Amino acid sequence: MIIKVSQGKTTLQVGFAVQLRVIGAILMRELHTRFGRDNIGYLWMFVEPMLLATAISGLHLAIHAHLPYGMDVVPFYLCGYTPFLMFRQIVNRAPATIESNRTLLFHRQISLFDLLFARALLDLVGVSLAFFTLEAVTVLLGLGQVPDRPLYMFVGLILMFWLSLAFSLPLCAIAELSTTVDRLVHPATYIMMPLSGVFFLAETVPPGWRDVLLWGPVIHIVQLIRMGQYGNFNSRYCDIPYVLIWCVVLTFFGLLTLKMARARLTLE
Amino acid sequence: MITVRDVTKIYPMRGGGRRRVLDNVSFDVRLGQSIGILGRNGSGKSTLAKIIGGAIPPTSGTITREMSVSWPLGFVGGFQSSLTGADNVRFIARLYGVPAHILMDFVEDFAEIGDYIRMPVRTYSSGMCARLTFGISLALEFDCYLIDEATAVGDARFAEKCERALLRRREQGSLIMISHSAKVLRTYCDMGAVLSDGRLTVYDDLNEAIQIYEGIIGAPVE
Repeated sequence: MIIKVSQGKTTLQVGFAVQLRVIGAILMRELHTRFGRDNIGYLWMFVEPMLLATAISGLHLAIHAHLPYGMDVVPFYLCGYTPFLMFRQIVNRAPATIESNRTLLFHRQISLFDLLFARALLDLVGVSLAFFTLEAVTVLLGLGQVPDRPLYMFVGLILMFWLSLAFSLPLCAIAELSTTVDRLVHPATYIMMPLSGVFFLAETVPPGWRDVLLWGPVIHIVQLIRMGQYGNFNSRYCDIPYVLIWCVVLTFFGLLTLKMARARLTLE
Repeated sequence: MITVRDVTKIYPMRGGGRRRVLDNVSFDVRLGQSIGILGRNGSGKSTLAKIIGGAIPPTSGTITREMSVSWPLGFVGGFQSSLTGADNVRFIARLYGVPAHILMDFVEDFAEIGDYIRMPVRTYSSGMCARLTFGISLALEFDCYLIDEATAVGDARFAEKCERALLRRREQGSLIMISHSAKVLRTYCDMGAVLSDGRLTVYDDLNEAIQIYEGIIGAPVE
């Protein structure tokens, strides 16, 4: 039996349906190529971040890290490290996006944005699953409390997703024009980790340094997620409109550079 | 109908220069027309196919597609070689919004690659790649097939099977075919076009196009 392909009409509604279909298809493909079907397969999607987050939290538990406001140690590092892991994974993977999907770009339905969006979505789901699983385990083991403001956490994770995606757009595009980007991104996200409030609160940093650190957008999101965990912690250093400005500006700039990259793209 | 108007494609070169791969290319393909495109290696034929298919945008000019057009069918383009043949089938099914099991049945039956359908595509021979490509793209019925050098592969029996299927499809639709083989083009195409120095000239008679092309390369074309 032969299946008739409709001539992609361009009404907004049909366009949106096609977009969803494309992202769904890439998502499934990405699951296969990244995690495969061997041993635990898809489970790696959240086992991997879970192992990393457990190691970091466990390490600080072992050295008896002392925290202000009577914060529990394990949730503190979970709230910092797990969201940052999402940022690092999405951003680190951005420069290689075109190279590892070049043959798929033969299909005109697939845009570079679709590729980046689908890949980032997978990290959002994987890291969120890992995060909430570890939160549950922490509560069961008596190492921490149930989050006081889960809504803050959800908003924080979504913001981190958008910010990471927004960073990944221009990085993907520029990587097509210059191979240096790929080499610089990994060290850059590595250096960002200690500067993004993953291991400390903005409140505990000397004011001069703090002002510098708060220029970065990630630290604000980490602060938000910690406010979600600890109901008695209300931070002055959590500027969500500032993060949104980063997101919007980077998204526009990113979409522009992606358009340029597609125009210069060579296939095969 | 596909309308190509004043399409120019310029690629930046390493070191700052610019190369005009396509220079003001204009032509139409109506439903039922089949056109064979000839040109030397590197003359921009594949670039033209990718622009017609919409995979890359032209630097200037427009392409209007008033019928469904396939992606440029070649050896590996459109597939992920680290995935199995079956995964690729499912991917294409999702992408084009068709039921995966119907597509799978057709491909398994048409491609005849047996258990290899569950092996990564990178383990395939070029003949098997072509079987998969043709199996998938012939299961999906496009109004216009864009074919970039993907014919005349595999053994004689498979080539014959592709030929039959493609000719049948051609009767209802259109074909834009890139090939270096005059024999292949004569099998499928009525019209011809020659791409040279970025300019495309269309001839209503394929044989005329072949003659002009032979003049350009200074040798007969088989």
